Amino acid sequence: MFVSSFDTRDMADSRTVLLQGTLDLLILRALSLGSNHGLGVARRVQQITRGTFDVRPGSLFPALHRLEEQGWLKSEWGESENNRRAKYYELTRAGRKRIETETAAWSRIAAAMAAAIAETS
Amino acid sequence: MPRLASLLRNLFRSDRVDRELDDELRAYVEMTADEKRRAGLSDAEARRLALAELGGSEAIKEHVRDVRAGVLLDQLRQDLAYAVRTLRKNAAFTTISVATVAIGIGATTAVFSIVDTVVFRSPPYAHPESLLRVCGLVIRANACTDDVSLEEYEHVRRLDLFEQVAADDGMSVTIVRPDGSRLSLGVGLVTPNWLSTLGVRPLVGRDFQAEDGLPGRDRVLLLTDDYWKRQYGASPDAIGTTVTFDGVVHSIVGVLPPNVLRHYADVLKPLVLRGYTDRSLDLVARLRPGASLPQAEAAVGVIQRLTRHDAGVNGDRRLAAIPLGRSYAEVPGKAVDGLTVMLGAVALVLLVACANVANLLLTRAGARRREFVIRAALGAARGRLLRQSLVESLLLFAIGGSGGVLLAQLLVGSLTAFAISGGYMPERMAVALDGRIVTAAIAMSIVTGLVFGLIPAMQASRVDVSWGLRASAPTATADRRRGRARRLLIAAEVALSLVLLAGFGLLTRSFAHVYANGAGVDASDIIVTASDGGRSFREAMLFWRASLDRVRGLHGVSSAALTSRPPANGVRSKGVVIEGQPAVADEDAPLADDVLVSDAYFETMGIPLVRGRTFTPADDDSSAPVVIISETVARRHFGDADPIGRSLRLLEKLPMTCCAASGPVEGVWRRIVGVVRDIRQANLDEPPSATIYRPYGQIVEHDMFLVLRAASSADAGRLTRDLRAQLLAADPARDWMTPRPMWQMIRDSESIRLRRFVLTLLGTFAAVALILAAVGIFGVASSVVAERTREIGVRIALGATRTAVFRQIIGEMAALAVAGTAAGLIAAAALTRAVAAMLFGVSPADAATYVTVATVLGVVVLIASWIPARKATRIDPLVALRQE
Repeated sequence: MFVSSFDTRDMADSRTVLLQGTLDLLILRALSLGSNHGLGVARRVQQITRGTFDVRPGSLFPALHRLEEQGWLKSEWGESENNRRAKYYELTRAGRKRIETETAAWSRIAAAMAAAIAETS
Repeated sequence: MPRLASLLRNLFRSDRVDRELDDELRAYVEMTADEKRRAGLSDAEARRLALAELGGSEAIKEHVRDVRAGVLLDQLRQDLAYAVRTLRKNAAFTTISVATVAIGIGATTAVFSIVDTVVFRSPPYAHPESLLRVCGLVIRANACTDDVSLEEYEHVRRLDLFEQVAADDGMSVTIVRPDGSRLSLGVGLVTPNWLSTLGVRPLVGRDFQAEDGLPGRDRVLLLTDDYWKRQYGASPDAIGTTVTFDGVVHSIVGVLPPNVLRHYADVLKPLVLRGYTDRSLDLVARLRPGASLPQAEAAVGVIQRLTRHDAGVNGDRRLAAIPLGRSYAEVPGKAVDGLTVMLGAVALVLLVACANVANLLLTRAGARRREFVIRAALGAARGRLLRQSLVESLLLFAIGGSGGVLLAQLLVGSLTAFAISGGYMPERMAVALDGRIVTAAIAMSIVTGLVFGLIPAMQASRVDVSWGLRASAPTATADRRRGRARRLLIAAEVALSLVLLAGFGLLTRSFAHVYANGAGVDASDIIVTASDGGRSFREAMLFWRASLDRVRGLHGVSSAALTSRPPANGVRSKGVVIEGQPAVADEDAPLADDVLVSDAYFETMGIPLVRGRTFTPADDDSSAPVVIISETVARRHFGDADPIGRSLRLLEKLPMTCCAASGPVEGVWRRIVGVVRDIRQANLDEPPSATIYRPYGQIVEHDMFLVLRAASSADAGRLTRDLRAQLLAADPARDWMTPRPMWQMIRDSESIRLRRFVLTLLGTFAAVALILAAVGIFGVASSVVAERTREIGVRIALGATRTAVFRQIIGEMAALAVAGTAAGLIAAAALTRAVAAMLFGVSPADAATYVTVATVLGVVVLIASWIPARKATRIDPLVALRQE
């Protein structure tokens, strides 16, 4: 009975926030190595998470645009390695600052999660 | 939320953004396909898989759009919440700013509403441009001041050019209310088609119908909106109730819309034309589509000839058709000028208010520099900071603007009453803040918010993190720039206040001159009353003779006389013809003010006799016609020659018949028996007018004024209180106007009333501007001291005296004041030309006024910077140097 009273909507929300935060940090991290286009960002995220996260266009593009709107990223049209016209994203100074605060926050969460898992398993 | 998002999308997302998103997704697909091809897939297969990987491109696009809109909304919400928090934290700053904006916008909105109703807005009739007024044009005065006869109306009505022609007249009646109190009621008599001619429909109830204009059927009334609100509390139950006057019970059938005004009417009653013998109609006509004003003028001119016999003995009057315009709710040209000046003045106040708030925002931007630096260091984007500042100032102006609308709502009622009493608005005109004006006020506050919010916002966002955090060297460029902007604003406030003060000063001096000049009579201890002499000339003459004798016999009365028009009370002008001088056409004859006076008038009023004699009781209907002229008339017509014994004739609209057995008395030659000193018969602020005095008795009017000089001021006070009762006791059949001291009538005369209104408003505006400027100067001086605490500390430590420090701060503010004053003087010299027409006995470049005004401003600046300067002298070098 107690379990069923658990508010599922809250849970869904918190998961979205969690996932969105994760994705944002991953994208920012991926771009900290240099500017890149959408596909490049997706591939780099794959690389730095050792294949754990496969970012699909359906979440990649909204995330890129959101970050741009928030002022963490700026974009510019450029040429890709095989002469394709593509939109390149780059970190702004505010974006670099953001990585620091986000990283600190995530390290705390990760440490807490690790401790919690170690405690209960 | 989806609807809001799509709304925002429409607002913020252009096609360009959508196209770019398409391009971006296409690039993604192509690059993915490239990867697959490199991995060895066929061209077609690679493309297919790449597209599949993308999924629905429309769905992605939709999602991206929502995300962007969502971010924007989120940030806006954050900015707003943050703005509310900061504004609440800085209660003093917020209160002063909001109050300043509210005062600026409230005053502007209220004044604009009035000017709009009186000057700009067209009257509330359908297609007012096709409405004409048909009236008797007094050619020489070029004014449509004469009325129309029934015969003329019948002719005009038959003209094809007009769709409809309505006629109206007016009268005043007394009604007795249920509680026994008496109430004077203005009744507009209108032909039943009057409303439909104007294209106006009753607000409530029904319009008059043709049968209402038949004899005996006219016992119906329409209430004006104003009267309905005053007497019936705007209740629809008023319809069907009755009002009794002239012994007839009238039932109320409807209510007029606001501002349909006529003849100072409280109610309208149908005009019965059958048996109408007066000659005092006013006509309003609606042109048929296609008919033009010149056609109407020509057609009406023909009627003039048809009915020529009716026009009287001279040709100085013709029937004319003129655009109706505002003539049903007329304000004097002087009043329109005055209102326009008020609008300009209140705009200056608004400017000062905005400059003041901008100043406060700038000062605060300085104080908040560290907060912004920290936020930038924490990763806030520059655009974000800019927007944050902007949201804050917009919020400030929005609250202030709403406050201003409320204030305007409060102000407009009393301001309207004041404008009506000052003669700036027709009586009974109603002013409401309408949607347009409120919208304009809100738009105005948003624009001011944007303009003045942007300067501090840009400065705030132009922070440099590296030096900002050091904060111990606050002499950086942004600071200096901000300081400069602030000083500029202060100088501008001083300049604007000076313009208002200068205008106020010039008008005050004019007012004093007009007042001191007076009417040219000795008004002390003179009391004026008036009555209606009766139905016939004979009756009137007997009544006035008896009244005069009675008053002269009262205790404390040293002399008494009659006049048709006391001084400073407007004029009735007539053409003058001198016997034995070359004849001119009637309409070219020079004009003179025509006044009827009894014997002892000049003695009572203290008007000195220059030559000849004054009137005596012997100048009556049995003796030879005589006249007395003013010095101006004597000079104009006779030069240095002696006018006594010469004769003149007045040109009359109608041959006036009088009590005299000899028949018509006007148009007769009158022998000049005296010359008196000039007085200001018409207006106090115009040169003395040419006046011609005729003896009462040789010519008679019903309505006369009785003037008396009391033996002492104590007698004057007593008589003012008791005279009416004493007269009523002697003859209860005739009522008298409440006696008033002459000085009071002069004080309330049009020229004084018009001036008092402008003066009061301009004085208020100047005072508000001055207070705002003082607040601004105080703020700037305080922040100068705060920013320079270290510097001042060092100087004091190095041996600077406190007096030197004090002088430095005061000196800086004084320099601003001098710059502002200089600019203000130049602006004032240009702008006071707008009030030149209202000046009297003082030039627009009156040095004394400017010196006084500049001194007042100087003193205000000194007082406002005194406290901050004193604070500077109390800086403790040890504390100041240790600080940070």
